[in-house]
Amino acid sequence: MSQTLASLRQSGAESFAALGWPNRRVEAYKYSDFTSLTQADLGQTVAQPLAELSDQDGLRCYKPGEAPQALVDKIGSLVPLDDPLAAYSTANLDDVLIIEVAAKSKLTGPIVLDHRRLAGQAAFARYLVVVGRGAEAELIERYASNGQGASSPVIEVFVEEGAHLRHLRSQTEALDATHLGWTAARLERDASYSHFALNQGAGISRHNIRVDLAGAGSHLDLYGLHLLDGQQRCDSHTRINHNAPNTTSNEVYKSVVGGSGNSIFQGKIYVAKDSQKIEGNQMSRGLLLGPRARIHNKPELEIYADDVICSHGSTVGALDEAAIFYLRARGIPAAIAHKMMVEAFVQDVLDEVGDCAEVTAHWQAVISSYLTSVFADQDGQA
Amino acid sequence: MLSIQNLHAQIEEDGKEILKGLTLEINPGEVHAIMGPNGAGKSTLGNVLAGKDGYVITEGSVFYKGQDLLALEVEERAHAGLFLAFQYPVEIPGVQMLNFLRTCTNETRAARGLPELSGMDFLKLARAKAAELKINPDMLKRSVNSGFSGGEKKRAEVLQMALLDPQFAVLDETDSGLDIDALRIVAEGVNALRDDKRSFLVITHYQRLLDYIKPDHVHVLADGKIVRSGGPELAMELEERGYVDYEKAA
Ligand SMILES: Nc1ncnc2c1ncn2[C@@H]1O[C@H](COP(=O)(O)OP(=O)(O)OP(=O)(O)O)[C@@H](O)[C@H]1O
Ligand SMILES: [Mg+2]
Repeated sequence: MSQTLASLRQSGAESFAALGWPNRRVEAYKYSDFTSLTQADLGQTVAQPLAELSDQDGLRCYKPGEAPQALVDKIGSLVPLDDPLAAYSTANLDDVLIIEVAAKSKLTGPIVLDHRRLAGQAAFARYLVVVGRGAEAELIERYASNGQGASSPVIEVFVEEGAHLRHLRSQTEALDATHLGWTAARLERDASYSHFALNQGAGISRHNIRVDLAGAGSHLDLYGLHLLDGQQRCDSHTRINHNAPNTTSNEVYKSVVGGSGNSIFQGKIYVAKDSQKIEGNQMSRGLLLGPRARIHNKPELEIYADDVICSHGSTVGALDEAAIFYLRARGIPAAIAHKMMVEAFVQDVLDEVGDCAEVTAHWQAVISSYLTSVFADQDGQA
Repeated sequence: MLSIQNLHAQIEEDGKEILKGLTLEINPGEVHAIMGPNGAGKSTLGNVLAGKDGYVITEGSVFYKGQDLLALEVEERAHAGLFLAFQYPVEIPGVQMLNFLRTCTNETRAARGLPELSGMDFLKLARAKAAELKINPDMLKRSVNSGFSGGEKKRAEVLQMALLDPQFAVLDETDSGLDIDALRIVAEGVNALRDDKRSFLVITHYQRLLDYIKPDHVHVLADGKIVRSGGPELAMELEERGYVDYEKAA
């Protein structure tokens, strides 16, 4: 292990030793306590191979030992070690893959980071992605597993001046798994970044997202879905920092919750002093499929500039009974009518996922299998 | 076809009785019109026939083609040939009109033992029926009823009726909000379906519609009951005199 990684690991360990697992007294963890995680929930630490990438024009991958110092210096610079889950992952990191998209290049295919953790294991994937000036790329990050244990991946993303990155993340871990993920991104001048987070798996999950709009004129789109059932608890915590003028962000999170599922969304939009001409819009919407399902949406605005347009909206409701009656009155069986209504609820997020057929097919398959099982459970209870 | 005997229905929530002993007999091939003051219970009758939740039937019966209609699920009633054109069609953002129409057509066909229509065949059929009703084909790409004008919603109801091929249709104020041309188009759509087996129950406030869709019988529904029945001339009389006589009686 390189000197850099060893010292980063050391800092993570010290920070985690001081912080410990967060409980509800920690504001950012108000709705999810992690103190009851057991060793079985976390798994045994096994060195996990990082995703393997095939070569593409404009794409370079490095191990920290081989990478230019300027890249190595970026490792750990975006993820705050005062967050206990970031500290936990960093304390256990084993290897880092550095992915660089050369300036001005437009990748022909997506960068795919696929992870399949085996039951009983603990995985600590760690990536640094740098999309060079004016480059365009698509990044697919997927986490799946076949049983207990935890994945605690951290990805740091730099979108350089005028570059554009679409980042599609899917978490479909086993229902008894734990997922503690971190995504941190920094956008330079006129960069744009779209992040899509599909959260369907794991018994307990938390996804922290922090995006710094550091360069003037940069734009962020952030879309998330929670599809929960049974006893699942899924917590997304997003923080968007408008640290430069003329920056815009658009955030939409949607939760569909069946069974005794518990969906948590905390989203903060922060506008620094002197960041003028800002637009930040946030919407979180929840759909409860049963009487025991729960949704907590907590939007927050923290604004220190005055020429700012920020909005947030949050709604939680059940399926529209009038619409279901209408569909059934047209001969559509109740079970299909319910599915159509949930699909309609998530449709606008799916529309944004857009062009890449592989990704759209994956999202559709996850949504469709979720719908089949969530309504099968409900019929069973009726 | 449809036999309603002494039907009493109340709102589940507050126990308020809306239908108070309604009796109506409709034979195959007949068109019946129901007129009556606001709040009389006309839409409630349509909702109860279609099987909407939220009503309690305390007395009476409804038989449809010899079956106990009230024992059937909402979708089973539709499969059996009952159609309700809603007074207020529901907007369903995110559900595409074409997808909705195909799903309801194919689910209904399957329940009736008919083969499913392929995407292509269905598209042709839907476009042809839409054209007959002067519905812009672009509307089929939009969400169900979302942002449709009042008249567009009513035409979309008639399009659904044409696709679902019902045996008995309740049209709840399908004429409201239609301009003269649209009214004629909608009426033609209904008349095209008229034959000696199919029956209609047309709820309206305006005699005008009945110039286009000639009813066999006209009834006045006031305070939850049919208080008077007659031929088409009754509609003329109501147009002139209003419902004053019946409101006093109620
Ligand atoms: N879900 C409900 N809860 C409470 N009251 C209801 C409900 N549905 C209907 N009502 C009441 O029942 C009565 C009859 O309503 P209905 O819609 O059947 O009238 P209508 O004859 O169709 O009137 P209009 O001509 O205005 O369409 C009204 O007083 C209405 O307010
Ligand atoms: Mg009415």
